[in-house]
Amino acid sequence: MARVDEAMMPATPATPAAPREQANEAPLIWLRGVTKVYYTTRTPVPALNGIDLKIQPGEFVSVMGPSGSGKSTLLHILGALDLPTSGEYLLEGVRITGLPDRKLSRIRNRHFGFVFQNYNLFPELTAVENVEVPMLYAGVRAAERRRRAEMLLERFGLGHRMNHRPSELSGGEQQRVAIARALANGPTLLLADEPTGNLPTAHGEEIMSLLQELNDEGMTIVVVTHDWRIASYGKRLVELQDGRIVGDRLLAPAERRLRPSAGVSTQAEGQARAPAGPGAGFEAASGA
Amino acid sequence: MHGWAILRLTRRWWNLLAVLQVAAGVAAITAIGSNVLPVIWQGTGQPQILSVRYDRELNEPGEGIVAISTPIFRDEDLALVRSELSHMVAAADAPENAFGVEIEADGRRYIVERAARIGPDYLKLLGVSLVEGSFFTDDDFRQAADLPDRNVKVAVISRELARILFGTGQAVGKTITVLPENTPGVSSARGSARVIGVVEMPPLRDRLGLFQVYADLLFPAPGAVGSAGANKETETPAPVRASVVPEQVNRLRPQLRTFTEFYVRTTTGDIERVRREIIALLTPLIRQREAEEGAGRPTPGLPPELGPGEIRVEVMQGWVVEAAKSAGFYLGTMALIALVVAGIALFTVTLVNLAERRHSIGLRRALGASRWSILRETVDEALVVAGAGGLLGVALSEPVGRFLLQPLLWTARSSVAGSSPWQISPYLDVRVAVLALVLTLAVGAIAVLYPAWESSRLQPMEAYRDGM
Repeated sequence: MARVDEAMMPATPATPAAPREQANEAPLIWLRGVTKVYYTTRTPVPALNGIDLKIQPGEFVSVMGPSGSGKSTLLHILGALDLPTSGEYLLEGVRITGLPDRKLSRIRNRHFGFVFQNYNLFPELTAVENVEVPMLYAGVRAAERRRRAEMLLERFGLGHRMNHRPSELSGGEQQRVAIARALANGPTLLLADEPTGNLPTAHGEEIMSLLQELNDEGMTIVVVTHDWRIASYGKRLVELQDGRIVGDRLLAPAERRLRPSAGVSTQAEGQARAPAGPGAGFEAASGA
Repeated sequence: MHGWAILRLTRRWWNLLAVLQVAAGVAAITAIGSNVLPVIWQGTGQPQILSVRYDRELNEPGEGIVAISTPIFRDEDLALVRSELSHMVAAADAPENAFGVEIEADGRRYIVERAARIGPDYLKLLGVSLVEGSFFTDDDFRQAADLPDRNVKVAVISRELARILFGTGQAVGKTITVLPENTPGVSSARGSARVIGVVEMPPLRDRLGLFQVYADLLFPAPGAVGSAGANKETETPAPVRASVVPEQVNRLRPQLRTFTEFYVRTTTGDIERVRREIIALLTPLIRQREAEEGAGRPTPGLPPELGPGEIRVEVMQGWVVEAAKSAGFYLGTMALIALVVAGIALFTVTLVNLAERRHSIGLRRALGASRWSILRETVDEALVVAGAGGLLGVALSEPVGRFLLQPLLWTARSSVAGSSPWQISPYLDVRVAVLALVLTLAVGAIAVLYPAWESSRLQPMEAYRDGM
């Protein structure tokens, strides 16, 4: 796994405000009092309001909330795609708020992998070229880029589709290419924004099983969704409402949906229970 | 350069338009730089070949005063110029030209566009040198005067002609037969001539304005005399022969030769000084001859009512330089406009491309592209367009030179006195082409700098959101 640039100044952690403490293990992500306000209209629109969040390495966090709750904004800030208006963001104990563009770009390139709802593949490039793009910005040599891209696509069952353009691939295949691209530089954290939003149920479950498999291999994953069925693939549920965290808990085994090959009892579709507590049930119906 | 990561151009037709606009500018610049600027350079402050004539006035009814060049110069004048003038290499009488001479060599027939009878100083005048064999001796010139019916016995040819006729630049000892019967009235020679020397003539493009001087097939002018009998070495100016006097000239040939025009090759760019010296040197002689004319010895072939004249010393390439300046101005203006338009085209194409690619830029930023990467990719793309246009322009410079420059030069020529044929042989100067390419790339880079900088300043989410 890549490490945060050593040139960055290490921050002194203040009193942890994270809801879940894991003793003796430094959080991978630590948000402290993060707010985000948009100024696109005359009236400032707050999107996040005092977010405190810790994510440990290896976690699979599902972020749920209704539309406008700030879950996508949170994901963008987590991925350093957007800057918080105030508050602090520590990655592996290093403050990344206020870093120059070059270092932030490097962090996005090396530490984060992004999976978007609409795949966001470059339509002009083939599948293998799409996977190569992040490696290109990482300065990986052409031959090595191609080797790694082909290996990733093979792994995700796209060996026969390498030279196809996105328009020649199904939605599920496109999203698998996107996941392969997200993993190209061996990121620390995989961030997925409604990764199954544009997919039929079967393909959606296939993608979530894939993410679960990656998590089982040690990859830290944050998935933003409004769909309880998707959220139930995670191990931990963070619920957002009006830009605040209103719930943060581990999912009970009975609540979790596990991929078929995990060797653990897998609940049948539709049998996953909606979460109890704050925010419970606000989107659960959508998954049924 | 990011290879294919310069994501394939989205506005292909727009980019093609920009490529064509750049190509137009580069083609014009390269054509001018290769064909016109050297002429202007050659004609500005450089050693020149000057034409010396004596023009007399004639009052033509209905036309007013017209200038008529009169054959008043003699060999002794050339000898005097050679001996007295500083800053000159050679003075030679104008060649007696023949156009379209049909010849036979090695059993095949050819038409040589330019043949001439020349004097001993011809090679020094042009600054060219023998590459094989020898030049005409005094005996050759004397023999030419003695041969009946304009027959020729010896010839010197250009290396280019030697290659055409014999397939090799080595042609000494070969025989060329002039066939005047098929070209009646245009040939000033006939008979079989043995090639005694091969001379390296300058390329066609360096003959601008001197077409009446250069020839590829040379015969000795009957009875001509000069500063040296055998000019094998022409690079070094021959020592001045102050001892050549009219008596000696007259002893060399039975008849007095007179010329309408002779040429002087200067070694200085100070043309005015040479002009003043020639006029000062020859005017007393000419006045003396005019007085003799007035005493009942009029010049044969000229109307007796000719008025007084004056010596005219003109730079032979002068009209070419003027025409080149004129054409260069028009075409240069067009080229600059084309380049500016190309720059604007690149600017707008880049703006449109970037506006359409905000989402793509956001995505690339999300995948790790820094501002610098985005800036560089944008500039690289513009450089690809500019470079493609530049290469196309260089390739097009030859037809541009042929089809655009030629008519412009002819138009310009019509306003310049002393016109003579100027056939453009389009020429591509590699240095000019490289310079034009560099200029184009610079224009391309500068034109897209602002849009590239603006797009690179976008925050990833800003670009990503706007492009959704």
